[in-house]
Amino acid sequence: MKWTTDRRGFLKRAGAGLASAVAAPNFAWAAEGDTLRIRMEADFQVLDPWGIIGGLDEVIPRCTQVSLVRMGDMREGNNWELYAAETLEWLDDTRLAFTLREGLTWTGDYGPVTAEDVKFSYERIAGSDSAWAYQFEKLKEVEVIDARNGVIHLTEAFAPFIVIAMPYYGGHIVCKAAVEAAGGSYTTEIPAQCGPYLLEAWEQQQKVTLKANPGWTGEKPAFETVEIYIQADDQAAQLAYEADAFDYTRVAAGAVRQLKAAMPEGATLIEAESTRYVWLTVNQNAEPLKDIRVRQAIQYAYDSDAVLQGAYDGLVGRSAGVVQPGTTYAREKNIIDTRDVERAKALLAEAGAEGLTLNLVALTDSTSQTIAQIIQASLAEAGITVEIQPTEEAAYWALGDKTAGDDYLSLELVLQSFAGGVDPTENLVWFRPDQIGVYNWTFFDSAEYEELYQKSLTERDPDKRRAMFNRMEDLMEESGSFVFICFEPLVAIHDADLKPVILADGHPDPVRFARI
Amino acid sequence: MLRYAIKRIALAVVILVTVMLAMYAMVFLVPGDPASLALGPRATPELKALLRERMGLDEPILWQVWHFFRSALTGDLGYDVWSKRPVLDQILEFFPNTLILGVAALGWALALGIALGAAAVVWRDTWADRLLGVVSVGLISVPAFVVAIYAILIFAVWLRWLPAIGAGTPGDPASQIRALILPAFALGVGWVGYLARLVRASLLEVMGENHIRTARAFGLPETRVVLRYGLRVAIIPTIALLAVGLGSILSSAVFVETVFGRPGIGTLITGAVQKRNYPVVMGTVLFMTAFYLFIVTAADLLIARLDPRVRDAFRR
Repeated sequence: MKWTTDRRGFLKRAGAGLASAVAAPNFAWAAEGDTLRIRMEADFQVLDPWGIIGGLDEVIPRCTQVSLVRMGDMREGNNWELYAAETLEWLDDTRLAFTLREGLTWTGDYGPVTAEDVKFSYERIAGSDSAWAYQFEKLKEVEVIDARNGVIHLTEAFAPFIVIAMPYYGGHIVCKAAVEAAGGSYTTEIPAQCGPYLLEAWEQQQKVTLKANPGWTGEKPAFETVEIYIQADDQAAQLAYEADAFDYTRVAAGAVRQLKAAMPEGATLIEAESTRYVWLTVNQNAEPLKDIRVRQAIQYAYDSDAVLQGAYDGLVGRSAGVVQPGTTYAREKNIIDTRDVERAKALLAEAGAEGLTLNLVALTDSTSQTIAQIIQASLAEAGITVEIQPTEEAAYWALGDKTAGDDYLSLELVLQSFAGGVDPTENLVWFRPDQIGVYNWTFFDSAEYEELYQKSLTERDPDKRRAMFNRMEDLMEESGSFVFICFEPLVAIHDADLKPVILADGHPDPVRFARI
Repeated sequence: MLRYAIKRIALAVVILVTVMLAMYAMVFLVPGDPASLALGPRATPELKALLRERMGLDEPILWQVWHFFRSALTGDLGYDVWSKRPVLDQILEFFPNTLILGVAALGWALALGIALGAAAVVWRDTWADRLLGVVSVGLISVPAFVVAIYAILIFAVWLRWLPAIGAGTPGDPASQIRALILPAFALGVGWVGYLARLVRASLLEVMGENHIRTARAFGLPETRVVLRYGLRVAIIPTIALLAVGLGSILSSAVFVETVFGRPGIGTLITGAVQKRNYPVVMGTVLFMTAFYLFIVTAADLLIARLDPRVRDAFRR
């Protein structure tokens, strides 16, 4: 065949090619059917449970590793269930016996998952400088009875050990032999996996692919493949969802109104209260805030309704502390529950603090800045001038750190939020006296609070624990150093025929996603 | 020419060293503790201290600078604090994506910009020239990320012609090209207007020269005079601009990479800065500065080779 190319021929062929390319609908990027496509905000960095940082670092081990127990969906009450453990039984207040399920096998010829692996996994984190060492603060040791049986020994009774230590993060079980062969730790390559999925491919900053584990003997996941796409920008992620690039993605809280007005076809919106709690820190050590009447004036002047409407579109209600509203242990309401600007003015006058000017530090994201501006406006009505200091994240986290200088002594107002845990003690721990200059930036220093905190760790009666937690939150509010704002909304969008499972940290558990 | 080349290369080295010294100074001047940021509220002071040590931040600044340059000369840009992967490996993994994106964006912008600039001269002082002027300025004014969002909305959401995110499947050139179209379009739009204005101005200047008058005197059609004899000379200033343009386009690619979820140098360095992952920040800045200086120096040398007036001016 003779092949000739002239200008006209080239143009014709190029035109035809372009036209067919343009006309072809839905190219191969739309993976459907047996593939679950999830979007995460950032790529992973460390997969070793010892060094997990968060986000995708944690979501992947949910698929590739097991833990003795696992948590249920946050919207259904954060209940735990057995996972790698066949049985789990408190022998007494400090001894917890477990039996591993049969058939859990590591990849790479490392044999079955054993009690020795559990011991190694927990003890390497307990007392170490891992960020998750706090999960195992009360762990004494793991006693290995035989290959599948062991007993976890605690230093003292610690009621929430199961939900704090075992379901995720540091609680993922790793293969002792494989990790030791890898030098004692690993980062991006898992030396041995045992989970419903195996890590198949990693396209850095773009995509992670997980394939169903052929050697998995537990309940089969609903999808053969899980693809996790990295997209940092919420707005772009929402557009990409509409372009059928994902089946599930979190979206910005501010997008709810628009989504409700024009919901993409075949999509469902999730609106839930996350475990991330937001509050205003009022540093009682700062000179202008040493008088409790001034701090209380701020609590009275704060306009909760305006903040919740302005920053969160009214998606969440006001929180009464750092224990998640709607749970067993939550406090019913704040002591200063109603705004009273006149009372605020009177308190300021009594304290001789009229014409007060305060500095408010807030992160640079739009939600934080909106909250800061509304606080500025509401406090202005009481005669307090607020100067907002937008601060980017790295500088922000050094502000209250006593090892980073003396700034923590004179911070005035700070808008703060922490990702919370399942048990209230995980949230209340940061306001203990020993956290001053670490994560307690208010200088709230209460011996009663500390005593209650220690008691709550060992108390197992839910009513007594609730009373303790409620009292601790009363103490926080009475100090004038806290204005509780809310638990941030978790907003996500997903295919209507998909049933997602979202854990307490706000991240999905792809293993339990199902088609309905 | 040799003397000129040595001077230009020496200047590039001085700039490179200055940039890296400035980067080190910034590390110490900008507030923020990478350990607290990265490890979050649950980190112990011991862990934070360990991380600072791993980053080498506990060493005196001059020692750090010396160590960095000494290692860089042997091709060792250090290790990512978190993943412990060599920084150079990450750069070499990401850089081709950004380079391809930049070249594609500049390529189509160059083709269309030259065409529009030439058309404006062919139709100069007509309504078409004025319209092209308005369009060019309009294109310059629109930020790339705005174009990116609308491009996704139209071509990915409504028409479903092109993918909204990613860089395509590795080993599948067709999917990689499809994934490149929208980002390259968004990144190049501003340059179309800029190049069109530049080519128009340059071409108008050339159109007053003797060889153009001669061509006209021979009775050649105006379009042929513009495209064949005018454009050939007028396009020279764009060579110098292209080198600068590629550097600029690579640095502004971060917005487009973010919106399209494309891996690239932009996302690598932005993530590293946010997490204060200093080895990655330093290594990437060094690499990109060196690449940029290489391109600009090469373009300067090429122009000097083509135009003796340039090297003469440098000599003076």
